[in-house]
Amino acid sequence: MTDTVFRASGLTKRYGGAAALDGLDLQLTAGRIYALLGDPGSGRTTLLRCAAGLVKPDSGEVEILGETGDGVYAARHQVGMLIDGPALYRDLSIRNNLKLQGRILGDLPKGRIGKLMKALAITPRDTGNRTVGGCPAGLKMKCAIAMALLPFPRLLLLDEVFGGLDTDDSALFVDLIKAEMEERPMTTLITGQFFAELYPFATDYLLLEKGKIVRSYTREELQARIPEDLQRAQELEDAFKTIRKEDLGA
Amino acid sequence: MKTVFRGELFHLSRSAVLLLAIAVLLVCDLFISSRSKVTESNLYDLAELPGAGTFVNFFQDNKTSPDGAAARMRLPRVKNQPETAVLQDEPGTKYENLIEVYWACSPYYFRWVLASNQGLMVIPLIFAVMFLARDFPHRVFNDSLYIGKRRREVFWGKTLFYFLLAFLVSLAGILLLTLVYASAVFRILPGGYVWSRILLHAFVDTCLMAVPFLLAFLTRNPVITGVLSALYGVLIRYTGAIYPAALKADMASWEQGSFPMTMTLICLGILVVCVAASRLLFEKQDLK
Repeated sequence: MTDTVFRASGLTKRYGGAAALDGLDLQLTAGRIYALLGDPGSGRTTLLRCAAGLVKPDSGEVEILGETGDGVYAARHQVGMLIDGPALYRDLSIRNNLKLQGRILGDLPKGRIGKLMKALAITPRDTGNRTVGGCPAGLKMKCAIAMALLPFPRLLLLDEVFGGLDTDDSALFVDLIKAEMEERPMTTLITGQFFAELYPFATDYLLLEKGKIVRSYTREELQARIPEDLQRAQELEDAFKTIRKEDLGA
Repeated sequence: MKTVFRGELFHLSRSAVLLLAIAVLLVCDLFISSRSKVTESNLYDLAELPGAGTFVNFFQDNKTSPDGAAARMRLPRVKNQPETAVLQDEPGTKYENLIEVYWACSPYYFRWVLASNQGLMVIPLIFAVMFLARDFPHRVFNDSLYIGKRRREVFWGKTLFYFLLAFLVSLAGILLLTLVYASAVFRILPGGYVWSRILLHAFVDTCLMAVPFLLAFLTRNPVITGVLSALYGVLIRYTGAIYPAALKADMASWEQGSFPMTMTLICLGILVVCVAASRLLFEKQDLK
């Protein structure tokens, strides 16, 4: 049985004259937490959109849990996604958004929604009858994370979640991911712009520039190059920029 | 498709906004249609009532009962013979004046209820925006695609829900109008006559909702969809393009015994073309 849960081969997507993805190759192994780092416009969200079937790549192929072509539809039953921010019905409450997704999934075990809401500290006071349209951004993000985790995914693809969470909620999110990974094999890919957000959390780091993966690091490699006593976000960012410059010359 | 449809039903049942939109639709329908109802002052100025002028003139000129008039004009027989019809100055019946007799048993009045349906201006606007166009900027289609639903499943689930709801809302609107302004038709006309016309009109209205449906997929923007849908409603109401001019003509032929096949096929054609075009668009579009 292959350890590869996701593979992108020669993925290209152009918007007008600009290549959002330019022959991208990527392979994700089971049980790891990947941080996909890149500046705005580097192709992070486009990659996830190709994986979700929201856009069709101009060329290349996506393989999900060993399936390609038509098979990816069945494979996506085991994938959780959150791409380009929460996609929620604003006229429904948090709980009803999750219940609606549960209806579409079709065979959700009882208690799954309540468990995820509890783990993310989405309280009855937060939910109640308040519609999503009246909820703060952090609560919407937590709802979207819960929605991505509803189907007990083996592969979790999350786009810039830390930007929508405060410190406490980020900690809850990390604990939840780790708890889910203990219950079943799960691979997580989180995209982001800032290294410091993802460094404490991930096991592997992928650098995306101009639609291509230009470098990858394991946690051990970076730990060997980043002083242990660096705690502040800016210090970590600067350290990573230095490593990047050394390795890529830019 | 089944689960997507169930999701839409769940959404409707839990959304105060959507339920309110339906209520507003029905109220607007009643209010707008009532603005041009028959009153004592305009009864004999019948430019807006298709065929009613002929009926009333005949009725007056021949001093006959509605049943007698119906037989002469090949209308369906009334079930319950009202008391001998009376012209304005003659006593002795349960109806006080010509207007009440007309309102109570004129199938032409019932046809006016069906054919005018001025609320049609409002329905496309609210329906297309509230039940479809808003989903694009909110990206709620994505949640179904993320979990492996094919685009065709999402599309057909949404389409079935949209048109089923459009039919039910049209039906409710027509029933409300009939109950408020021509309720006696249920009592005095054959059930088959009344219901066949109500259902066909609801079907026609539903088919015409296909154009705003397509507009939503074309524009993917609720504001632009709303504006274009409102213009569309005004266009078909005031220019008589397709509806109600063709409908009036065909409905008249139905009174003579031949089913309005041309009208039915035109409306069905509009529905099929718009749904097919929308399907193609949704399949090919890049989604955000």
